[in-house]
Amino acid sequence: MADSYDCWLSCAVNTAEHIEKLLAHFKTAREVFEADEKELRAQDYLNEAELTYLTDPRKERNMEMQNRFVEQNRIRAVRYDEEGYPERFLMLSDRPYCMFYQGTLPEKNLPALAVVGSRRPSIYGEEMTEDFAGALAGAGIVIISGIAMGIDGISHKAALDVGGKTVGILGSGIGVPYPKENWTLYREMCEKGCVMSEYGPGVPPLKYHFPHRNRLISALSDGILVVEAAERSGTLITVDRGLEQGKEIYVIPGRIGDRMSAGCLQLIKQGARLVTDPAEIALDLAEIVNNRLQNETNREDISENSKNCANSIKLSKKSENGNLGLARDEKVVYDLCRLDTRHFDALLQGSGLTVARLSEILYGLQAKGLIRQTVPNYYSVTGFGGYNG
Amino acid sequence: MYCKITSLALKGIEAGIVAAEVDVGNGLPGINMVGFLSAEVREARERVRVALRNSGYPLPAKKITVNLSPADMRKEGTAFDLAIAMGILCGLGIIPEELLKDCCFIGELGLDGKLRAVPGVLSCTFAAKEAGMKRIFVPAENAQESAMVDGIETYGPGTLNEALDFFIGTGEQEPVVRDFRPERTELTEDFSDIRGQYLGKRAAVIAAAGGHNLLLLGPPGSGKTMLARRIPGILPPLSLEESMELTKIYSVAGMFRPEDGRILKRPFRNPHHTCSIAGMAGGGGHQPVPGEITLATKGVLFLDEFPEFKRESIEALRQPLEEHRIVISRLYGNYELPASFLLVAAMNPCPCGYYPDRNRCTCSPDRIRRYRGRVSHAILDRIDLCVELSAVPITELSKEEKRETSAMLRAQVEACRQIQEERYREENFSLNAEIPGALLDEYCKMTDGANERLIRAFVKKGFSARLYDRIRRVARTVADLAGSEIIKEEHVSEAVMYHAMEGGFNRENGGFL
Repeated sequence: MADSYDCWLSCAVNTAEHIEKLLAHFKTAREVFEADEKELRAQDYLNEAELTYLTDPRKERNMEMQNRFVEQNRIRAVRYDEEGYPERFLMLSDRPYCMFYQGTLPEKNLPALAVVGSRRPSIYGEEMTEDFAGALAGAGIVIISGIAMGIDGISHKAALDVGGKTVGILGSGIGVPYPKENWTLYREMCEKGCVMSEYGPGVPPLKYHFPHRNRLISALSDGILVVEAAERSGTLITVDRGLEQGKEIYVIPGRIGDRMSAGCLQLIKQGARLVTDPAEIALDLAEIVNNRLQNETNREDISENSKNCANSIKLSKKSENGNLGLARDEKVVYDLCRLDTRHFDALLQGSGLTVARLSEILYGLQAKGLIRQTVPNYYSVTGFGGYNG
Repeated sequence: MYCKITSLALKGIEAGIVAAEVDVGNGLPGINMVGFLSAEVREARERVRVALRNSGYPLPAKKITVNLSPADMRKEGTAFDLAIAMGILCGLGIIPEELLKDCCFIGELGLDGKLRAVPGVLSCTFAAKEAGMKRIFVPAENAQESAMVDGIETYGPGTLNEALDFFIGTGEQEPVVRDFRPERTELTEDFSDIRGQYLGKRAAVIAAAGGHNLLLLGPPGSGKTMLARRIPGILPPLSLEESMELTKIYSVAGMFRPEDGRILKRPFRNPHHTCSIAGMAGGGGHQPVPGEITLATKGVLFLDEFPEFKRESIEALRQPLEEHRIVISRLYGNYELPASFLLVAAMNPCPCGYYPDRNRCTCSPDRIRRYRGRVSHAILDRIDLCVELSAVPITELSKEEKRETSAMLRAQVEACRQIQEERYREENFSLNAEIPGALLDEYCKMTDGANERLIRAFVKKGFSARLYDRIRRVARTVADLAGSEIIKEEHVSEAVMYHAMEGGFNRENGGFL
């Protein structure tokens, strides 16, 4: 366990780089705490806010409150040189000094996929996220994201709903749900998944935290799935960091001309891997994990473990649902929904049915789980017509 | 000498008899008026004195006392002028008292003796007839309005002297004869003008047929207002009784044009979203003025940009939506006004209006949630139908096809209302939307399959019992439109489509299954 001084220091300085420099000078967090103001002021890389905190005359009280907060919220803190610190962060040039987490960390050798994308996705993006994250989490892959609005939140939720493992990395301090709309998700993540942050208890979400924490999202994963990204999007930062770290980039394509797909299509042009089926990612990740584990060590238990991982991915290529046993009218409606999310009127127009008949068919198709109402009175097919995994 | 003249005063949209007692006697010369009078009634003293002089009857140096009774009811308005003037003339012995029996008078006097129009003449004439009066004298401008009432003779003098002519003149006077323009009910706006929007049209028919309130969600320009405007046209024609009630309301509100005859078209009221509580529910000083909800009686109250309305104005709709009337309390009494309207509200799906089209909409989920949260749940609970409309594609607009006309839709609505009327003959309600919770099981019989479908949807989504009731009412209307006495599966599957605002806006709560 990291001590109170480590915890206090993680709340003070907002970049891993500054912590490194401070520790290079002072050796331990405790010495930073006990250092006199003059010496701290001599550290010219610190900004005013950081200095104010470090030299706060009430710092003992602050530390005490942080300790209490950590205890009450069952937060665990691990320093980089301690057991339980995610090994993958050690490879980063700017590894976090301390990691805080709530919930249970998934086993370190499980395949992990970061799911990233817009905070204001289209319905298509939401659907795809839910389908991919749900299917992959169900197949034993850990879903990693940032508990933000939009794609992030949906991917966590999809993973939790199928009982899969998921990790959320915060841009705010540990114990600070942000955005506040996601607080129920945050609570659920703490119980059934894992929430982690490099920022200490109570640190507010600051603008520059978010691009910074994206390096952790990509570092913790074996591959990155981009669902929807506009042309200039924070998502692309995660992708850049992922490329630096040698991760595989998967992209779900969108339509040409859709604003929310411009970034995705750009990535595909640059050579990212286009995926249309979760099974593609699952198989790919299994291979990556196997390779990784074999390269790491030849120890007996690890290779056993890797087998387990590969076996845990049960997802197979989807079956072509060419014949769903649909009646003629049902098939017409189903095919109309396939192309895009359709409003009731468009379906009525396209199928030439009456309102009563169409509503009956829509009900039937929903009951069979083939389509769903995404927004009231708008219908689309449920991703892939169901998995066998 | 003492005499008593009958006049009338408004109370809400109904009227009551007021007696003007006049006594002319010796004393300090002048006119004294008593009887709980407001300022404008008190001023009648000057108007009447000068009008009498200018009509050729200067007042002698006598003390004249006028009492308007019942003395505990506050008198407002200028409609007592004529009665007071007649009373004084009678008190002076110019008109024989026995001639004034069974006559009543309303009208405002100008200083030159001309009679001016007053509001609420129709209600007054009804009240006079009820009280057993044989003749009513109203200003010429109001004569046609008053003549609508059968069983009482209406006289419409233009001046005080013309009114006097009837009693002391030579010329024979005939009562005013009803002379309306031919009664016209043709609609200028027809449902066949609307292209596309099938779901919206269907919802409008269900709303009209079962009396269900309707909320339309849709991007700007998707035709929400267009749709709402056409709903009064597919409601059944007004009965004579309804038409008279409506005409009374508009007469009291001073919005009635006698030359158009009684009101035959169902009203469509479209108040702006800055409308105050008083404007919405009715208000004014001591005497309430009908608000939008009363003016929309028997017709449609359309609230465009629903979330922009002031919260209090919308909350004021709660009682009227349940009870079809509004009670307004004022210093001098409670007034009950009718308010049985069909509420049609319209709103954008998000602040910018284009959700769920993410190529155009940039609203964050939180903003959308806040925007929708402005509409209170208490009101949403009283709106049975809620549909989300999509923008009509341009290909649809340019397409020529046969579209249903208002007349065709009205026939459906009328047939459906006929069924309801027969079914609820013994009850104190008449429409599916008004079925009380306790009677739902009795009147909304479902096949086992239909019931199972509904239960399944509810277990899945955990909706409230209230929504369960609302969907059953809508399913009842859908079944009635299809001519089925029992509610079948297909009726339920249609009814569950109309709940777009339930449980939030996004996909998590989007569908039933």
